[in-house]
Amino acid sequence: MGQASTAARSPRAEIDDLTLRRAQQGERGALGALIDRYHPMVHALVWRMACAQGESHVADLVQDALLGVLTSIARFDPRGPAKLSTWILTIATRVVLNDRRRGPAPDAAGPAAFVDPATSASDKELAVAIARSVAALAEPQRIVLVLREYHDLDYAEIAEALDIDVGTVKSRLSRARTGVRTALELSNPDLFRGDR
Amino acid sequence: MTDEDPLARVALHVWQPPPPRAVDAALLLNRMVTPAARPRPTKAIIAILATANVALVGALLFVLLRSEPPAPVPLAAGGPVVDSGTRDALHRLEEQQAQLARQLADVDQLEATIQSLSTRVQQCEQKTVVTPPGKPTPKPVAPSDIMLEPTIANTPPSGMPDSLDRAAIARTVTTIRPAINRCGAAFTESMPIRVKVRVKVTPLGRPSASVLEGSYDPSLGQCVVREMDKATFPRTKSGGTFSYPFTFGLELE
Repeated sequence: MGQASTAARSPRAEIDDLTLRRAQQGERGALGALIDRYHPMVHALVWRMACAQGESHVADLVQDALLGVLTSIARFDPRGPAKLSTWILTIATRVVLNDRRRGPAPDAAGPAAFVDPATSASDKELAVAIARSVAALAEPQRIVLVLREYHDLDYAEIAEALDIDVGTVKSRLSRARTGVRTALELSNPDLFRGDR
Repeated sequence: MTDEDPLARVALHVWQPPPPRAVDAALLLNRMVTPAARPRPTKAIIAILATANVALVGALLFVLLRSEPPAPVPLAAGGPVVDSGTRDALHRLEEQQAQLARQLADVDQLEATIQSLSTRVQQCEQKTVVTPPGKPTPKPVAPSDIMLEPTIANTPPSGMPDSLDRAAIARTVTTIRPAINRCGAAFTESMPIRVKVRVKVTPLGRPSASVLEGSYDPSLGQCVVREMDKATFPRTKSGGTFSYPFTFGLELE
């Protein structure tokens, strides 16, 4: 326990330019490669945002997000300010938020956490506690936290994805972190024992 | 808790999503419609289509303008709207109708005149005198039996009269009665024979007779006319026209 969160972040590997150009020209092989490359990332975002609504609902949202990527890929500008992964995460984020605006999804099983069988028991307990703490956040705070902590988007990219100011991103992120810490202090007081 | 990052010491990445379900890429590709995959019309095709569209519209306008019907002309206020050709035809029909109406009025006037004349003829016939059997000689006609037409005055003024009067006509006919009696001598029928002549007399007294009501034998009428034309009437200023009945055969009274 007690690992630094930045240590787990990994640089996002983008698809190569040739495959991207072929995908933008509608080549099915390149589009398939695009799906294979970014499907896990889209699934991770959607799952962290909507896992409480059940696996099938998450799968539907993932499909909608990937379909949006495929139908819009020709309009992506590789020379623009956004990386392709950021652009795809923006599409997935809007699919999730639009789904929430259409109405509350059925709460299937509550906050869920997948734990690798090789993970230690303490990490399993922490994962469940984090999942519940994040799920307890308000949606605007949760999405900012997920994009920042799990997808390594900087403030400007989050602001662009959510169409909000950078200052709003910072304030929401601060409240989200405080909220998760407060929840974790209640569920796992040993986690912060040395801080006091 | 630190002011910079309250979760600095929390390993957030122990919360990981499960492996994603396999996505059906072929299904997604079939569902998508990418702008790049959609064939885009080239500028040349767009220009050709626009030109063809303009030409089509122009052709339609040309056909419509050439086949434009004559402008409708209102026949009357609030009435139906007809074209100029129909309007002319209607006017011609109205003129023909008015002409027929005038002709019908003339016919009615003529009928009234004929009716009046027929009445006077019947009055004349009721006063006709027929000769006894065996002597088909017409009796002298009373002056009132002589039918004078409007141009003949009943009472001539002093000196030369303006027109013939009944008395002068009766006197002149008396002079030719023997000859007329000879005309009827050949007819000894048991039924009376009636001949009525119309005589037009010039101012010099020259007669011109014609058969007004014939007998069953045209020769009798021709004989009467021939003898009447030989008569000499008194001179008048304007002459005159009259009709004179002769009856040959039985005496009915």
